[in-house]
Amino acid sequence: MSESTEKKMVRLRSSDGEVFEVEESVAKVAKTLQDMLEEDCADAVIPITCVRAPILTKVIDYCKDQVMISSSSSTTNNPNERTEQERKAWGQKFMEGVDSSTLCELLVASNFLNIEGLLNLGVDKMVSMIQGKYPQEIRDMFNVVNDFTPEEEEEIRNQNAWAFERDPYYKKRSSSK
Amino acid sequence: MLDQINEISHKDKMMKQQNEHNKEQLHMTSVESLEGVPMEEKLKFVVPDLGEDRISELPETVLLHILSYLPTKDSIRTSLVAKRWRFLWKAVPSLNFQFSMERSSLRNPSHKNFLDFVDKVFMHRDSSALSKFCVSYFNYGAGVISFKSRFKLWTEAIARAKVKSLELRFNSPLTLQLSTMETLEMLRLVANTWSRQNLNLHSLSGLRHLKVLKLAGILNVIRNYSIKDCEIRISTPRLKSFFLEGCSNFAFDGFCSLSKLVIANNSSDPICVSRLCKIVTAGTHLKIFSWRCSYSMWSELVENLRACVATPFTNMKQLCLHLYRCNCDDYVDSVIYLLENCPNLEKLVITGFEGRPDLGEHCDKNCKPATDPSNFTHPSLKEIEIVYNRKDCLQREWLKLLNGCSPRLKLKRTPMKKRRLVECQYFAPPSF
Repeated sequence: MSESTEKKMVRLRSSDGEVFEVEESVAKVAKTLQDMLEEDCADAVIPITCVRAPILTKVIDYCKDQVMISSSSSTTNNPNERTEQERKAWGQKFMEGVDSSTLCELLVASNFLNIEGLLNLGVDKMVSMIQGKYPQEIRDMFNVVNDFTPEEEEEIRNQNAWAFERDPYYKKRSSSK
Repeated sequence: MLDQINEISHKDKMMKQQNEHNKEQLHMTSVESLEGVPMEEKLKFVVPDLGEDRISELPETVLLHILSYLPTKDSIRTSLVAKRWRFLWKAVPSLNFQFSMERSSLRNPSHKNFLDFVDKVFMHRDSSALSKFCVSYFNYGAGVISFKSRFKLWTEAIARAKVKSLELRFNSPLTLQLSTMETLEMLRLVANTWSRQNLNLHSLSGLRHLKVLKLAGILNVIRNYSIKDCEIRISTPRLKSFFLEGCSNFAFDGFCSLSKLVIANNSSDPICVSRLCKIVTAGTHLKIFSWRCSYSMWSELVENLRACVATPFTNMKQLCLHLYRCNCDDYVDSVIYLLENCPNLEKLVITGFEGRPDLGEHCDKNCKPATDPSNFTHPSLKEIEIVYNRKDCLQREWLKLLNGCSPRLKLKRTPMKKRRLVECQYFAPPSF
């Protein structure tokens, strides 16, 4: 791939001012950027105001990989093409070690840049983290401040009593108090 | 969108001020200096845990997307997390209910609670669109009758909501009026194969937009069960993916756009066999094809294919064949024939089962393949995977074929686990 002569480069600036130079094909994995590039309204540096540099690095890693897969898939003998299983394994590896706050930032970035594949990877990971957790566990995991007063919390519990009663999680929690 | 970005960048600024020190450190380990460092290493630098609430920064669409993959019970529970979450669950575009009980009795409250729970969810949801509805209901005790009447009401509600995806897994007899759900794009019905009372589908023919259809264990062929009497016509012109397991009481029409087909059936009934063969021979657009049927059905299929050679499977990329009594050499000819008719095939998976002598499935024939397998080559095949239960069940003729196929072939042999073998042989219902 390195022998190709002229590859248009695109420059992206993260929210904290770092500038990244990537090939146009890599940037175009993000639909938002693709639209901008096709409308030709982006020849200087594209500011990505809601994504910090470390997150943008990871996003670019993802896009580079997508380009690598798709660029050779048209030829008949493609060593990079993945089966469904391999794709799953790769996605898991890509998301491995991503902590909750990075995960949220990745989700914001992939939503803003409109990268469906990355968004889905993030959502999958998020679902596996939240599933079967108590509200307090979710708060702890993502540092969410409980802005309910105890009275309000009680009110919701009463309102949605049909959903919480006989809920093993709820029972366990209230009995432990 | 712009507002959103501004809001986020504003928050970002505030965060920056709070964590000026951390940020500076980050700048110092600038990303360029990390070029070529493996991803795992990079992440160590990337992840400063600043103890901030980042999940609340997510736009609502993303949060709803996440909640839509949770069981509805879990998504309601998140209403207690914080104010922002309080009403989120009401707008989640998918509902997902599960009930499973070994021995329920009418006195046991959990069955009634489940029904009330679903009712209440329908009542409390807001008017946001509902696109997906999943119910998994396994009740081996009493209470099925009340479930049936409620279920009817639910399906009416989801038909009004114009759902796109419907997924039902159950073990009880149900009547499902699908013709009112014209918007369905994905339909998955999985019933317990062993149960005699199964789903009663009135009609599937109204589903013009269906793209994915999975039918497993429905109206399974039971002894003394007349197939003609309960024939159901399925005609879905846009269907892309079709999974059929153990159901044979359907007549199929207009499956020409199919790109993925999975058939698993152990019936030897001639009507059923010819129907299934018809689906395959009409599938000229097939890309992925998986076949897990009885020995007699295989020969029937090959004969059918030979009769209409005019349309080879030019789009076929992946073939999965489960061959019963694979120690019979007469398979070699038919597999070669099939391979010749899939000129662009890339992957072949063969799962070999030996016949069971105790069921009289001995292969006493000693047939010689007509074509010499070692002379066979395939232009595009890249990978062959062999799944076997005993090494000697794939005889030398097979190995000759596989080795001869192509010099740059990736050959993978996977021993089959004993447990899985038993499951496959009897077409047990999939594990839920």
